[in-house]
Amino acid sequence: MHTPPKSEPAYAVASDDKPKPASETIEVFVKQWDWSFRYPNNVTGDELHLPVNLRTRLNMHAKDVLHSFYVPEFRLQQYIMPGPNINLIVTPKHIGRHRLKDALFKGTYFALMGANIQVESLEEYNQWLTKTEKEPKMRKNQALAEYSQSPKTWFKTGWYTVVPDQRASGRSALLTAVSKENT
Amino acid sequence: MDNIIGYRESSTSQNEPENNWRRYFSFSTDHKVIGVQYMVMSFIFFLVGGLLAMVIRAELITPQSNVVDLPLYNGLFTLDGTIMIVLWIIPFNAGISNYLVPLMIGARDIAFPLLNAISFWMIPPGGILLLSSFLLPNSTAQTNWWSYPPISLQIPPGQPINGELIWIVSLVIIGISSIMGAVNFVTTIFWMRAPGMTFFRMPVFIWSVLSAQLLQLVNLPSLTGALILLLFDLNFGMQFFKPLENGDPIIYQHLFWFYSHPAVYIMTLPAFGIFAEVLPAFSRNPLFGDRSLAVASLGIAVVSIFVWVDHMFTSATPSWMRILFIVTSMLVAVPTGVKAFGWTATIWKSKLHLETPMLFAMGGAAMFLLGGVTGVMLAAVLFDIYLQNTHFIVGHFHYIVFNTITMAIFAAIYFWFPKITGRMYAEGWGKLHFWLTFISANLTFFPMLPVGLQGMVRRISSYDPRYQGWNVIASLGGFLLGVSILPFIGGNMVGSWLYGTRAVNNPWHATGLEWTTTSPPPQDNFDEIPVVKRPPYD
Repeated sequence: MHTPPKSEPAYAVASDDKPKPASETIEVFVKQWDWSFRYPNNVTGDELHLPVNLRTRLNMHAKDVLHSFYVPEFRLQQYIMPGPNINLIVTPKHIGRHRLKDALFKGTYFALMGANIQVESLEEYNQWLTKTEKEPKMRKNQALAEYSQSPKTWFKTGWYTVVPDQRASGRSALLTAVSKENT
Repeated sequence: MDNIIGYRESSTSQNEPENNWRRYFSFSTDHKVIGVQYMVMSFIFFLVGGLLAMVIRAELITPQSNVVDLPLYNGLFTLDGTIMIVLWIIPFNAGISNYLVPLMIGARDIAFPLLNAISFWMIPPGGILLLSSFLLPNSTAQTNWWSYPPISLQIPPGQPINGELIWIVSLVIIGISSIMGAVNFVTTIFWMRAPGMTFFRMPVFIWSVLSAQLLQLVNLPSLTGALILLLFDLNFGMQFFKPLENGDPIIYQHLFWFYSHPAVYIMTLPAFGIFAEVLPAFSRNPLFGDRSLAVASLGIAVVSIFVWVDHMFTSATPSWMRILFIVTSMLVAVPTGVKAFGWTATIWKSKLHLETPMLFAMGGAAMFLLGGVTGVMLAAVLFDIYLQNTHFIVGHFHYIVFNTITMAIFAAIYFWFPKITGRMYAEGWGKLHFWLTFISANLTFFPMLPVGLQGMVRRISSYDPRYQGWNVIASLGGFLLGVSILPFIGGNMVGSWLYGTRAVNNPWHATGLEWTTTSPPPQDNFDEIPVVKRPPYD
């Protein structure tokens, strides 16, 4: 009901922009509490790299609860929910480094959820892709690191929290969900 | 007071006010006792909520999370929001309406006194139940005052008694109490007006209460129903809102905001009514355009039924729905604008008597401007998707709920304090209270607007160090706000109530029917039911 196929992206396109096919598609995966991204050729990473001045489609998948894709510098926010396919088409206009935030509250390690966004020229983007394809690197899961140690706060309750996913990312589970939808 | 035939100076007015405090702890059916019970109880919850808020501000002084651990922090802001809305503002409004509605329309009591007492006595158990969740071994409710599924369904496995369950149960109890209260108020205002009191002879405060309580009747059942469905999901394995089991979490958002957006107007409308009573009294002018202001109350109520998607612009809402709700959300600005112009015109070029109630009313009405303007900004989708879930929303909302509504509540307490207690409050303490509150409230809530515009997300305990400056100001303001309540409690609520000088029947030269009876009013309110012959502010 809320995501009819014709639903337009939240990003405002200027009126003279004719709908053009996106030239790049990136899968965005989010769960409690981290982000991961899958680029063409199955390159995966924990940073979002975007080529400048190119239309990039972000296919977003949430694993567990509602999340919100929020980039203050892009003036852009979109909720992601488990189930329906939600996608955004973005055309970054300036090279720069930004921070992707998850804006929608989602439990204990909510404040730790972020990812770097690098907007770069197409050559740099392709270089980064080939480099990452050869030597994929995954950052350690920040929520998991916090969970495994006692909080450094003055007052501790030790109340219940959802346990962060042990795997570096929930990609395998998400991939099966995605392939189910595609069939 | 020549507009009321049949009124005569009561012989009891020179007696000492009876100091029978025991009745405030009894199951009384007198609307005046119940009104005071509501107000005092909600004020105690206000203090509890304020303490929670000050712990939150203490956590936000530094960018790191170092005061309370994360589950407790989440519980703190969940309960701060819940307590302030359902246990402070809404019950306080119910209390002041309880006290004033029969007096202002010239009735002897409210329509269903027993139902009235029952609706009051449901709230303390609900509130204490909610607070008791802090004692649970697993956790209190941690999922913010909206409790969106599926996050709210993530409970400790195998523990059916948990904070979320307690949160739902206490909100359902309080919700049912509010619905019963609304039935009472609407019936009273429709059927129990004094002879000659036509609708347009009712004071604007009564119009505001009527509009707010009609909204409670129409919209509150949707929240109570949604919470019961959530309870089924939580404890009985249903899947109304579970997205991975073909449920739809967005339906919950619709049901929740269908009540919770109008809830802001349910809270604000009585505040508008208070401004409409206080401003004319202290400028010694009739209220400007009282009929338009009365109709505007109803206008706000009608439009606000159609604005709930304003909170869901980023929830994958289709474009046509977004555009529709931009229009309706902005439309609210029209009747509220009418109100703001009415208040301004009332005090325009007149000699102002700047006693404490007037200071609070003018301060509240002025700060409503900032709260209202930021609200209109947020009605626009393009602006809203940028600032949804940031501190800008927190700042906007607190400019409404604290800087407008709570200021109006203080204005009301000072304004009707002589009528309720039969004693005058201490002017010096009152002015000190006002200036401390006004300054610290702005120090606390203004910094949230710029820091939100810079993209600081709300509900976080650790943040980017570049946001720290504004947060330190907000935290210091928050602690000062905590201090500002002390002159109110010590100087006035305790000191003046016990030892204040005797109040005359109408210390403000105000025009409402409540000022024609003694202070405090006798058991049956009026020796003889008055007959109304003139408009309310003549």
